[in-house]
This record gives sequence, structure tokens and C-alpha cells, in this order.
Amino acid sequence: MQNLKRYLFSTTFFFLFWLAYTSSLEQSELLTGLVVSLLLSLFTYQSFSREKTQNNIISRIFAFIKYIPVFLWEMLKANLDVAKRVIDPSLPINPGIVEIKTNLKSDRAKLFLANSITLTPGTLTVDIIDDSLYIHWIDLSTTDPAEQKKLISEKFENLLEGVF
Amino acid sequence: MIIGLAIFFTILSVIVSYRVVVGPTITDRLIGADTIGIFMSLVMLMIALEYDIYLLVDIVLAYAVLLFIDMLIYAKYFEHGELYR
Amino acid sequence: MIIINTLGYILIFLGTLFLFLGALGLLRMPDVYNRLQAGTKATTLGALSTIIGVGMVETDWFLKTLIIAIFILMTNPIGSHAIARAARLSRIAVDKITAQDKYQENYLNKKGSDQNASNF
Repeated sequence: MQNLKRYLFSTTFFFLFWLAYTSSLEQSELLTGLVVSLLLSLFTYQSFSREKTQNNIISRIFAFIKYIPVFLWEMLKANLDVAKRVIDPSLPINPGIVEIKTNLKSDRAKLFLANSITLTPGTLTVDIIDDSLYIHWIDLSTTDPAEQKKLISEKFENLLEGVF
Repeated sequence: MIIGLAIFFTILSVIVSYRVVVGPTITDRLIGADTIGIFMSLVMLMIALEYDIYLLVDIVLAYAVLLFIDMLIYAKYFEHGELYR
Repeated sequence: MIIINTLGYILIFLGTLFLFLGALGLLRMPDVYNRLQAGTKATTLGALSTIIGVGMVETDWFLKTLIIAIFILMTNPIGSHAIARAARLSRIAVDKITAQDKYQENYLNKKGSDQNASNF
């Protein structure tokens, strides 16, 4: 039963993807998409969906929607920051690699956190070992770990905790 | 105007190829190659927009997928010196 | 319709501007990690905004360009992590001005310094 649910979940996802990708409602296109997504999810549903599906999917989707504008705004700020540093003739950088502990448990959440950190102002994830992220910071303003965590990752961690 | 942008992206990728040719370490060359790949996919997209070729948009997606996999394989190779470990 | 088209052209030009700044940063920065910083951020937002702009100019293509944009948004940072990790593990040195390197202290020194040394 659990397996059937996971199978149908991945089939639905693939079919929606197909709809967006072909962006047409012809009968033959729909039929091909249905067959392809049924076959594809037969092979991939085990790695595509998780063992225990949680029930609160609606609230997770809302949390994700809340996360998107924050992320886009931070990305725009990051680009303006980089532009400012690149244009300046004296190249004002003070780089360093720092270590930050994270509370997130699942691999997917860590992936999203690392991506967010990479695209936000002045930071780049170098490696993740267990629950510590190593981050290259272009403007090392403080050496206190708690302060660093507050500046770099706290905002995203709070948002991502609701999603995953 | 749009085709001018395509030419501009080509000029940018020629500029970035300085990093591929000169770049002191192997990872500099990788970064340069990655950036050139993105510029080239955008050139393709601009050509698709100018001459109204829908097929090229599919090719851009395939190109982006290949670029990503390429970069992962190269990074893994230069990390260990071999592909399997 | 004309408003959406104009917005699309504006997005394309903004993206071009960011891509130009990214290329400039790639040439000017002193070491691998700083180059990645400038390169990844600028190319991700530049490509994102250019591709979405194309989708807004040619509105039939919007969903497909949205898929390409989301794909680039997800994969470009992953590629840059992979490159940064490869650089650090093969012990390509950070620039002299780097103030602090926790990765070196906590991880690389424990692994033993003789194996996996860089010969590039």
C-alpha cells in the first residue's frame, strides 16, 4: 500500500513535468506522457520518494512558497554585492573559510541550505561533513562562531525547517 | 538587437577563455569552461529568439543537463585523480 | 502584452549586465575560491533573468524556459560546490590574504598531509 502511494506520487510528478514541458493538450501527447511517466516511475519511485511520507504536505508547500521570495531577494543582493566588489579598483576582499554547525538532519534540507548559502552575499559552501558546513566567506568580518552562524545561515535554517 | 546580444555573449566567452588558457591551476580552467558553457547556451537561446526556432530551446535544456554532468565528472576526476574509488 | 514584452527585454538586458560583471570578476579575483564566488553568483542570476526574459518575450515558450531556469538555478551551485571541494581536497592553496582557514585546521590536517597531495 505504501509502495503504491509512492509509485502514484512519482507518476503524478513526472506527468505534471511532462505537461509543463510539452505545454500542449493534444490527445497523443497526453497519452505518450502518461505511458512514459508510468514506465519511468516503475524504475525510479524507490529513489524518488521517501519511505515515510508525511501528512502535512500542504503546510510544507506553503513554507516552501514563503522561502522563495526571501531567497530571490538575497540572490539579488548577492549580485549587487559582487558587482560592487568587482568594479572597485582596489578589490576590497578579506576572505576566509569558516565552519558552521547546522541543525538540519535530512540530506535534502542540507542540499537546499548549501545552495542558498552559495547564492547569498559573499558566501560559498566548500564542503559538508556530517553536520558542519565549511563556508568560504569573501568578507570575514568576525571570528566568533555564533556571530558567523547568525550572519550566514540562521535565516534560511528557520525557513527550511518548516519545509523538510 | 537580440543578435547583437548573441555576439556580445560570444565576445564575453572569448574574454573568459583567458582563464581556460592561462588559469594557474586546473580548477581555474574548470570554472572558465563552466562559464563558457553557460554563455554558449545563452547564445543558442538568443539565436532561437531571433530566428524563431522552437527546437533550439529543447537543445538548450539538453545542453544545460550535459554541462552539469560534465562539471560533476570533471570535479570528481580532479579530486581523486581517478573516477572510481 | 506589450508590457510583458518590454519587461522581458529589460530582464534580458539586466541579465547581460550581470553576466558581464561575472566575467569581469572571473578575470580580476586573486584565487580559485574568490573566482568561484564571483562566477557562480553572477552567472546564476544572469542566466536566470536572461532565460525568463526570453520566455516573456516569446510567451508560448514560457513554461519551457521556466524549466530551464529552475534547472540552472538548482544545478549551478551544486557544480560550484563540486569544483570548490575538488580544489580544496587536492590542496590548491588559498591566496595569501586569506585570514582564516578552518577546513585546513579541522579536516585536511587530520587526514595526513602526504596522501592526495596536489601535483597540478
